[in-house]
Amino acid sequence: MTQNSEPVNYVGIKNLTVTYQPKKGSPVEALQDFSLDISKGEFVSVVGASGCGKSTLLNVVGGLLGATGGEVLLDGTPVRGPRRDVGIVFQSPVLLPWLTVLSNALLVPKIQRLDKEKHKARALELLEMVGLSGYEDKYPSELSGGMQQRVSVVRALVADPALLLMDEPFGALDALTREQLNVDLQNIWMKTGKTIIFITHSVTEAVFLGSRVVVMGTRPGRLLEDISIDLSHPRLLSGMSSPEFGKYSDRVRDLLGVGPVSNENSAAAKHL
Amino acid sequence: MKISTTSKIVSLFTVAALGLLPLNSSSAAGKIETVRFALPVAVPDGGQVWAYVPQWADMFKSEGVKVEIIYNNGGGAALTQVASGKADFAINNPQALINAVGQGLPVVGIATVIPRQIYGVYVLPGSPIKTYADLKGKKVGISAPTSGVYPFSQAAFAEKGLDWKTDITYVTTGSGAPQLVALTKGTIDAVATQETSIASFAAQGTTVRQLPPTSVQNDPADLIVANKDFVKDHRDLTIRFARAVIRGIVYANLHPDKALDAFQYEFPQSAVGLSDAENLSIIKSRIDSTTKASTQKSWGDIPLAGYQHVMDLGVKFGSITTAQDLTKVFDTSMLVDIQDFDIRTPNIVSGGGASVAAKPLAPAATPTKSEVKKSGDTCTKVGATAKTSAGKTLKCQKVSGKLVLR
Amino acid sequence: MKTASGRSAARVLFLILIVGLWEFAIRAAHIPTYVIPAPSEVWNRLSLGFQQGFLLEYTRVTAVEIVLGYLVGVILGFGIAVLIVQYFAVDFFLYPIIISINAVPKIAISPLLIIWVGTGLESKVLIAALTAFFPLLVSVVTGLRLVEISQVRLMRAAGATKWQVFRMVALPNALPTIFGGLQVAIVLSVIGAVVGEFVGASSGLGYYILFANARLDTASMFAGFVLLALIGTFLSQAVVRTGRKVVFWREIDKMAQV
Repeated sequence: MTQNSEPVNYVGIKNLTVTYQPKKGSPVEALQDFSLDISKGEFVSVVGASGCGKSTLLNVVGGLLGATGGEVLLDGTPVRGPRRDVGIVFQSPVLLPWLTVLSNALLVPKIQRLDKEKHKARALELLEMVGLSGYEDKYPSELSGGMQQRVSVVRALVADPALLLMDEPFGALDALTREQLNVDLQNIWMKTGKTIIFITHSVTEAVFLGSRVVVMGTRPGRLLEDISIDLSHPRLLSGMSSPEFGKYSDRVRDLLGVGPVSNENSAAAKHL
Repeated sequence: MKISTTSKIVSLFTVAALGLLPLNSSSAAGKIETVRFALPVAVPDGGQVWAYVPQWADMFKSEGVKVEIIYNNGGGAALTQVASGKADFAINNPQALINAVGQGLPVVGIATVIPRQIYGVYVLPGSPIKTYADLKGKKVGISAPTSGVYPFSQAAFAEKGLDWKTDITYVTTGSGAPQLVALTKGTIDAVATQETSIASFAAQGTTVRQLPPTSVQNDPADLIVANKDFVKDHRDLTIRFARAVIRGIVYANLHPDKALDAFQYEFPQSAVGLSDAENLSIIKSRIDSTTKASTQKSWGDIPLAGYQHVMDLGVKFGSITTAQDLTKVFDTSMLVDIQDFDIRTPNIVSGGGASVAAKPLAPAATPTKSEVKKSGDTCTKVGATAKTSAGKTLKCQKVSGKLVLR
Repeated sequence: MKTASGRSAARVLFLILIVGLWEFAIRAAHIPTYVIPAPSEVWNRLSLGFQQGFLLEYTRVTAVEIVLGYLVGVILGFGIAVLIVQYFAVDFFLYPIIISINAVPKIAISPLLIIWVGTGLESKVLIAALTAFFPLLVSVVTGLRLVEISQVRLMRAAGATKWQVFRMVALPNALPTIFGGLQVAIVLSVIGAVVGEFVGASSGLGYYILFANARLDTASMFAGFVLLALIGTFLSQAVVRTGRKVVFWREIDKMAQV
């Protein structure tokens, strides 16, 4: 298990419970007694079927949603609302169509009135890192979906947050773009050393990117298993066909009850 | 259709609203040269000879008065302006004046400018309607129930034994082209309207036949109305203003062609669309209405007996709310001074009178306001030249049948 | 019609055709001019009026009333709309009052306004402003309330204040709707200015039209209509074009769809 140099838990989620009351019917437990500790610099993939509460989890950690029970600590302080040290990337890029790529990237510094020049330099640097140099003055409608999502990643990173939350960021893109962006994201993670919580539907994506994969169950949303992915970095796409990779993927699919993973383990569907 | 209640409510409302408004500061005592003259029409139609003639012929100027003319949508508005002090003088009909005095508004009539009724009842030449009795069961068009034609026609019909409520149907046609079309198309069988409208119908090629006038025709009509407090503080100025107006009326009667010049000078758009002859016929019809009546000894006299008759009829038919003491409605004390000019040469100021700047005007064939002309000004001789204020030379040419400087 | 100039030519030709038919119909049917004037008569009024100079002045006066009234109405409408959207108390107490007042036709209250404000330029500007104000107010309120949830969420995640969300997201999103209101308002400003002139004026196209009406000079009235239509069209086009420039990102969308 790869450990980061700092043993202090950077993200501490303790007994998190989120219950909400829908318009009709009885209260739903989106998250039940969820606990997780994440160290600084870890890439944690969170994977699960729809309704397992992974987006809820991300919203609470990001300070956009309140918890019914339990708490989330970031760098020792409890999360009470949106924070400067957290960047969020949503599934949809949500770039403001009247702003240029650069202005979009600089949204957070503009809102929080941070140093313009410093962040502008950083934004240009990040744009280059994702392969978008030269596009600073273009408008979002001139970019493809994949490019727009890259801009939103840059936007999340510009203010140099320590924690990056990503909610199925590549889900709306085609498979080829997705694979490329996986590689690019790994790149960024390795260069910047950010702590990343990455939510996805894709088993292979979760295993490829994560130093850990957290598998979640549905109804109620809860932690099923926390798997350490012991594959060396940088990981190549070709590595997806290696037997070690396959074993991790199988384990995850098994837990999620996806398909007959192997003839012996079809009974694992009982977990869900 | 009872209009008295409506006009009552409107007047009360406006008076209430006015009570909240500060009076205009120009009623302060002191030397004031500018007066505001409120006319009861939203837009001039050529009938306001009492305004544009003295304006153009410099009669106001010669009396030392500067006049700002304010147009109002209807007599009620004009009267309200005077009552509130937003205007100093107005032209208005006696019914509205009597009602205003009845409500306690500080207004008073100081000279009569129309000593007879301007309205009449007319039919197309081929109409089977020959007498008032023929109007029974027919439709009579009027411009609007708020117009003075309404009380006039009620009284005229009553005199001829018709009950305006049951024997005839009033149809509101508006004024101008819609009224003419209503008549020619037969939407109405007869029209009750003023002389200038009839003249403008004729200008468009439609002549009409008038039903024989009733005695109501001789009842006096519009007057110069003044603000009572203004008269108290500026009696001399009031006299000079009214005198200029009456002089203008006399002048127009003597020289209708000059009245035409005045109209076309003040309203350049009038020269386009109607020929000079057509314009003149409309203006002359109004001028004839202002001619001194047999009930007047001198121009501008206020025929009290006639107004008494107007008031009696008004009370009877509801256009006047309550009868008033006519000595409170009219102020005849200034008439002698107002009439202090030579009616043969009204454009020359008499040597006497109070502090009047005696400035004889040359009774020239074409009185010019100044030597400086502009493109579009009328001229008398083809080929003659004149200069603009910018020094450009204009030549007199014939444009669409008119002689204008270009 | 592939080219822009081809389209314009087609429109002009169509106009000429209509005018020609109109002229022919009037002459053939011997319709009196005070009912419907022939185009040639209207042209006569227009050319003489401009030659003599007064028509230019009247056009200028009315155009000034329209533009000033429009600006006042738009600024007022915008300001109040923002307050309505940002402050519940304003929405709850003031908005219904404004709606009720607006239900009274301006034609009915203009005589009163003239009594209070007089017959000068201010009264026309006021009536034009009052007429233009309401559609602009409604379009701004509606536009600002079209919430783009994902964008608002994004702003909140970044820690934006209420006013930052307003300025950076709500307002740009509202612009297409607002420009719709601006277009409606300019046309109404024309109406308002003319209504004001009808109640009492000594200059302007409404005055010119009424003056002609009293003398049954319908051709001059039509000349006035033509000029008013031209002013209205010109101003409306100005607003539309400005709208296209300001809400530019919609245009890029169209191009990107290729």
